[in-house]
Amino acid sequence: MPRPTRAAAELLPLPASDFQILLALGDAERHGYGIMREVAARTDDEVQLGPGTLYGAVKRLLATGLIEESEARPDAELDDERRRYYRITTLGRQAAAAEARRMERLVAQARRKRLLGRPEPA
Amino acid sequence: MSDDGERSRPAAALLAHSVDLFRLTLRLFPLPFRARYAPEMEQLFRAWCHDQLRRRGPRGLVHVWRSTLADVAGAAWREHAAARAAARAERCRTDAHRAGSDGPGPRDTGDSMTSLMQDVRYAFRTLRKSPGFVAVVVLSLALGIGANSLIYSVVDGVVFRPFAYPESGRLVMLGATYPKLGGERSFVETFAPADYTDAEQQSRTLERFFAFDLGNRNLSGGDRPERVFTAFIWGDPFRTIGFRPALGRGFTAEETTGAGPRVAVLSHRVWQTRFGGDSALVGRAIQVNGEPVTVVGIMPPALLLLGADLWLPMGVQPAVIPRSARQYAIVARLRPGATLGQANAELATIAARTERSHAKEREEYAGWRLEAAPMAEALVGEFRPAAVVLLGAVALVLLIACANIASLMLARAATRQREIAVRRALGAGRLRIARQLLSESVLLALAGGALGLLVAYGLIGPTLSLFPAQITDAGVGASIDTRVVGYTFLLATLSGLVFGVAPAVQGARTDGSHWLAAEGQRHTIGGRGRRLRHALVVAELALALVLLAGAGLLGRSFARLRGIDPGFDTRNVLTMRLSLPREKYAERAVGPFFEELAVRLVALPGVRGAAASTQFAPGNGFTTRVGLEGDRGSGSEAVRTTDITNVTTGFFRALGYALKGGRDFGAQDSESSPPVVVLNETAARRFFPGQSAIGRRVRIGEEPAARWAEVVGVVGDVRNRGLDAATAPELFVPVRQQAAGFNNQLFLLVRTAGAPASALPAVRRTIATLDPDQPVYMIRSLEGAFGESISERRLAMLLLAIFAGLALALASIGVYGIMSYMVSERTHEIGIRMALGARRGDVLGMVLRQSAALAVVGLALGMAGALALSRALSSLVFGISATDPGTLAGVAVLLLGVTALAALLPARRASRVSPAEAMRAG
Repeated sequence: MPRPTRAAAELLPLPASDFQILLALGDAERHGYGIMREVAARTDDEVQLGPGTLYGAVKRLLATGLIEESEARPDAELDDERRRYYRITTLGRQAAAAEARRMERLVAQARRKRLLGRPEPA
Repeated sequence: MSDDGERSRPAAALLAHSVDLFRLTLRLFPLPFRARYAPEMEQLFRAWCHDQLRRRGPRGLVHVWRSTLADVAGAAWREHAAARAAARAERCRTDAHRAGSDGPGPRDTGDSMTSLMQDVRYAFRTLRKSPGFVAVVVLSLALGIGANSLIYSVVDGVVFRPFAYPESGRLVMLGATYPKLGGERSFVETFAPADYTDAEQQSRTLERFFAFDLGNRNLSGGDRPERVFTAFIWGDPFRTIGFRPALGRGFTAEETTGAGPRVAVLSHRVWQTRFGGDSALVGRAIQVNGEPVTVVGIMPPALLLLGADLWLPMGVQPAVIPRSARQYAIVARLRPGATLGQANAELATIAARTERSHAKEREEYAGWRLEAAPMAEALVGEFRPAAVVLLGAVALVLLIACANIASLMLARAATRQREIAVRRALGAGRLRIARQLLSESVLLALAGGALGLLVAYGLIGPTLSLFPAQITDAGVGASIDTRVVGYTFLLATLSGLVFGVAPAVQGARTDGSHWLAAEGQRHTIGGRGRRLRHALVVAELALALVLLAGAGLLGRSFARLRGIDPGFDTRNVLTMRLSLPREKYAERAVGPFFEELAVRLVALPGVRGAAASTQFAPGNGFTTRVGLEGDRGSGSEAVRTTDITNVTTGFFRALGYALKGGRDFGAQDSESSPPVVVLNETAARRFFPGQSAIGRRVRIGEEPAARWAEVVGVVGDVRNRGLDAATAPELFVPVRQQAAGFNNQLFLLVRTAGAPASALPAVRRTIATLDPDQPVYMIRSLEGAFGESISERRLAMLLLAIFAGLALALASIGVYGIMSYMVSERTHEIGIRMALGARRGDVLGMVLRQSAALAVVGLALGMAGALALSRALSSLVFGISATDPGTLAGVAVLLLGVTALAALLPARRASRVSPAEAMRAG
């Protein structure tokens, strides 16, 4: 498991949309619409990244080096049109992990203050 | 089964509309963001709509839009903010020593905000009660502000920021002036490859150089061959202009200099129109002039680099090409921290260095100047004076409209005095009253502005269509963007303040208790108010005169221009360009091809004459240097430059050039016979002053090995540089004897019996009999070409005339309004006068005299204004002085006449006053 480096820690807290995108890219390279669908499916349509938010975040993540472009290639599912794909970088993984841990700590604190019940046994 | 098909067709239309609409909303984003992400966002949006439509039908689309609109607006706002912050940071970085506070921080404005909201709400309520008044004001403002937004958007798009490049102010083109070649400063087709390497290696103030040359290439494969506008490139243009291919990549260093494989980048336009936007094109080969070239990139959807559709690496090292090949343009960026002044100082030393080392062998470097100019200035700087004049003119129109509205508001204020007095008596301060009245004005103005924006949006297409094609084709366009919206908002607020200030001051002066105590008596607006309204009308008349004078001057200039004889018959000539591929036609085959084509065309019914030439009037095309026999050494002589045109045998006859001496070219002038040339009169006079040119010999080009050619004829001058420029010396060469390595692109000129366009199908068929694969392009009429050479002047004149007409109409409405008001105000007095024996004519004369007094003062002020502003017009007038007395007198008479007409109606009403009724009413 990657340890948070200084660089990743400096980026915290991540904007919610950025974190969602990093999660979406955690297991596969995806194009823009792929990211949007993955986020919607994973959150039961609770988080809907609109095109503006999505590409604003993509621009930011590219600039900070948390994700990178992989080459454009056809997508068989979508009329075989060529699309640009994105993938998460090592720094991106570190940042996502650090963010998740930060949230974990927050949740633990909420529990200690009894704002939240015990996690239900699986 | 049919059910499904029927459902899918409207769904497809819905999808297409949605995507169109989405593309429009993407314009909210700043350009660099758009250039990079818009294609992907569009792809995403289409896929999303598609999915939702399939899953949930039209309701799905509603869902998509609901999630999109706010999202896009918010994201666009954030991107703009980020871009501004980045620009600010950049400024701070380059301007480090000017660090300081950015201005006052946020202040608590809670209280004044609340009362402002109250004022606005009150204004709403008041205005709702007088819809007629609101309609008049808002509509006239909509016209005034709309015209301003329209002109601003066009001028901003065409002249001030014609190119969408990021930080385009720091993007420069190099320009050169060669005094020895007699030329003016030019930017394209100006530099030798060595000049590019010199500048790139020696400059410390400029960076990211690239050079380009423009041409055309045949794009084949697919259903028809097509000529596309092509840029040939050294260096990395993508880094310089700040746009990289949206798909694929740019050129590698090896590819640029010819070492790598042959590659191309396509414009978004040609990718869409010719290849259907197929993204699989990247990596595939296309046919350019019959040879395979691999597409490596597609540019984003913006017209870049003068609208080039095909970007090819130059494919050769600069050093291979001689210093005499002056056909390249050079583009670069100012280094961070460097100013244009520094760059120019440095370029001057670079030019001096070149002059020292090369002026001996190449005279044109003697005294040459090298300078950089922002790309916009370099390419469309010539339109700047007209643009400034039009912006000024349209602002004057708005001012006149504001004066009219102010006058209207003053009249309304008089009827509202009671309301204001009550509010004053109830304790409202003067300032509060003034602010409340001003809120009303600004509210009206903003409504007018919003409507004006719609007016501008509707008119922008028709306006752009008036522009010369060479401008709109070069990637210059205009649209209602955020800058235009901002400008409109600013203008609307300003006009609200301008026309609102007088009524507000007037209202604030109303004294509550005093007025109420006197209630029930007759009340008038008082002397001060009347003087103010008179002043407003005088100002309107003065401004209208300034505009009329400008329009009159441009109109007369244009009439003069139209009256100029081009020197030959331009009517009914169809022109088009043919470009014989070098791969297919050897140099020696070009001449015979066109001679044969001309012969076949003349045989067509409805064709009176046909010829081909490398250029035709008007145009500023190919020039060459010539040596004259008997000119000993070139040191003491100025370099002789002349236009050079290769023509087929029947050229002079077909176009109607007058033969002034000697003979025309004939069948005897073949490639094996002694070389001959024909000069125009200007060239004959300049090269052989005081002597006959016939029989003398000239040498074309600079090489000592060039052959001598005999002057066999002299033809009359034609306006070969356009109607508004002096005739340039011109030398004609038979196309079969064409100067070595010259030209494979010729224009076909076909004189027709009827309308030129009607001959086109037959001409095309005839060309196909010689070569079925040969495309033609640049099809137009010769008359059209001459019209285009003065189209900018025509456009400026037309727009100014429209604005002047608008101004005149507004000013006459103003005169009518004030005279009507005066008459109604003085009905009582007029009644008494008539009861005491005044005749109708006396009353009529009284009213007309009053209006004439206003008009004369307005005229005097307007005349002074017109004279003061004549300098701005001086570069736009032609053949007359910018203070032409005849024109000024003419527009003065016009304005007086219109004023008198506007006053006539109220004057007649006054003269019909029945004394008994008027006095009863009083």
